[in-house]
Amino acid sequence: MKRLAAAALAVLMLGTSLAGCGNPQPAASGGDSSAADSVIELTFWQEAGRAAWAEEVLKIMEEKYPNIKINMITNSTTDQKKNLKIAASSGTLPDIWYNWGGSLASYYPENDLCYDLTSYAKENNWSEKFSEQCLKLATFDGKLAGYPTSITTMGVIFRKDLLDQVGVKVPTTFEEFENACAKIKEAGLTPLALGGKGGWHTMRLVEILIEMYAGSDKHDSLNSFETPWTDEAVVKAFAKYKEFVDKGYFPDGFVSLEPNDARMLMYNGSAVMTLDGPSLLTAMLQDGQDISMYDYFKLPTVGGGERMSSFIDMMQFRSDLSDEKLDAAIKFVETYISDETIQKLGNLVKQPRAYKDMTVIGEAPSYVPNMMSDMSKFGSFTISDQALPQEVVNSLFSVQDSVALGSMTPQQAAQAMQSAVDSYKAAG
Amino acid sequence: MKTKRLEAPGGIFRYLFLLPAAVIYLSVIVFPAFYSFYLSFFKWNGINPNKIFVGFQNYIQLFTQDQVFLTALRNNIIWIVLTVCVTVTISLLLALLVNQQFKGRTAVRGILYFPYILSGVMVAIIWSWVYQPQLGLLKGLMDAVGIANISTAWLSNPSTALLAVFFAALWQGVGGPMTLFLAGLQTIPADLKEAAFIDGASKIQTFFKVTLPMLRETLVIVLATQIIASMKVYDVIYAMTGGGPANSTQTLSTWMVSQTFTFSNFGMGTAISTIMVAVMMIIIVPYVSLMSKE
Repeated sequence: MKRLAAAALAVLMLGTSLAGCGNPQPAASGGDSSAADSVIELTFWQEAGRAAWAEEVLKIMEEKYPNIKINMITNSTTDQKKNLKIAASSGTLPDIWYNWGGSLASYYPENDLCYDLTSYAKENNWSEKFSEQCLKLATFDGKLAGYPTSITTMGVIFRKDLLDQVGVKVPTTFEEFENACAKIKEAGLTPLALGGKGGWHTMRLVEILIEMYAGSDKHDSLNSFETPWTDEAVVKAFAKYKEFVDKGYFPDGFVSLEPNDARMLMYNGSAVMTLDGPSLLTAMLQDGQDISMYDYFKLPTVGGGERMSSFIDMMQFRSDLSDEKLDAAIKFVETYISDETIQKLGNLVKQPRAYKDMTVIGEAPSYVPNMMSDMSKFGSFTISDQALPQEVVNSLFSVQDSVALGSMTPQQAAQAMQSAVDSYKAAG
Repeated sequence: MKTKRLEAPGGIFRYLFLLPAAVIYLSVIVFPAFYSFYLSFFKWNGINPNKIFVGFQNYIQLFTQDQVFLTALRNNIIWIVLTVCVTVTISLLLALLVNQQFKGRTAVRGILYFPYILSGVMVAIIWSWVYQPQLGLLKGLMDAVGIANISTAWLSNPSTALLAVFFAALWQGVGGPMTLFLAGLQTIPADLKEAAFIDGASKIQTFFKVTLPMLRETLVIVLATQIIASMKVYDVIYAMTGGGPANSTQTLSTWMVSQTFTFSNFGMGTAISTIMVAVMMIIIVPYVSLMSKE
């Protein structure tokens, strides 16, 4: 009996260790930690892809504002999203954090976790300084939830030499785009370097297909759940996606391919196109690629919705920052995207800033302004993984995989999406 | 006199020495565990001061509506079965091998144990490249030996993805139980085996009649720890597949983290963690109690 009791106790100890559903809490200073010797210390969490940029900014800050000390912690893309949620639930959010927009950012203003910059923006005439679109994308329920830093839009970035080699001209209609994919495939190359791991990379094609078949208004109403996802346009989009999969337009095993690895296939000349934004340039430069080999075209969805997928980057601040800390945080972000900084950083930053002109500072291939100009011309929609609630996003990613693997028909996929929407709505 | 009374057997004062450890254990482990259980009866986003009591609704929803949860539960059970049948068996065989006298035995032990000290994420990165469908080592090897036709995108196919991840975990995890078995084997007196040999027992008979019964205590520890580890499996899956494709490699741990920190459904996440404990109890308690009685 004693042995049984001891065994049960041992198991209970192990079990309770498991049940403590709390991950290790990342350390972060509180919003009102005291400043020593007039030095203002701020904690800052940055997404890894932008870490090199931020590290350089910290050096500039040290010279420019010696009384401001920024302690930076870097997280991978996925961990940035997850660790922020963990920190939010344990009251240990950093003073400043990088975030994307949409449903990834909205959690913080909804729960009063980030500083509402509405008054600050009004006092400092941000409407004259920032792009209206960027400010709108950073505003949730009337609260300006962060300092918008840059804006990104998605287009087809391709290897010019490979497209020439195959004898394909830049497509101007979707039919031409499909023909181009077929020709590239016939030449033994992979048309689209997209990696399905995590879902967001292949989503960029699916959402464009939905935009094309649904048209802009219906696409918006799908995202706001006013139109059911069982709509014919969604079925058509999944069917076209499946057709592309079956024709071998994606890399072998793309469903589990890491998006960064998919990029390597363009580098080694086995894939021709990808769907990405100006930030891909920064990654390419860091990977030692010759970016003059690449060019861009807007995925031609002539005849349907023609808008481009876009999202903003922003810096959010803790809701309880003191005025002194808020001032220091704003100084940091202004330095982060100042002309001087970006010119100094050269190749590190190729994203258009969220300011009114949405320009890239310094040298950048002509297609970056072309992308931004196309976005202004055709309009934009919020990228799906930020436009939809995260539960529905997870379903979209799962459904994409199922369609690609043939375990769901396009009709079943549309139905599964609607079920996910219904579950989300039912959960309130 | 006073000191004597304090040191007397059964004196209550001795329990005070347990107090620091008990306080830490209760506050860091027991309280959060029971608080998690309590939270599983609420709908809560982790921030809002108003938690909505929903009774058993989170549990009902998991078992009746959440297909991913059921997949995750099934995957955990598969993982446990594979661990018990494959990991434990291979680690025992390896322990028997490295318990023999041969040249380079220490180096072989080190090589077999080495992956065990790597982090799960590092193992996932290594094996993701091994399985990479275009440039991966496995594809290269299969091409080289002329069996490229059976090569597949191992992590992209739901019917092979979990097994492919398990193989990576096996490569990493086999060193730990092997070391425990090796320690157990070294406690078995050599004369017992010699006596069996003199009595005419074959090597297989000696293994089943002498070695294995003598390893019973080690086996209990190995199986219990391996089953618990199987129930908690997270890092290697998270880093290799992220639970995909189509949620086919989700486990209870990965789904619990998604529910809690991606979807901010703390009630659902804590309900999953409670179910994990319950499943473990169902498997471990009868096993450990049975083995203890024997």
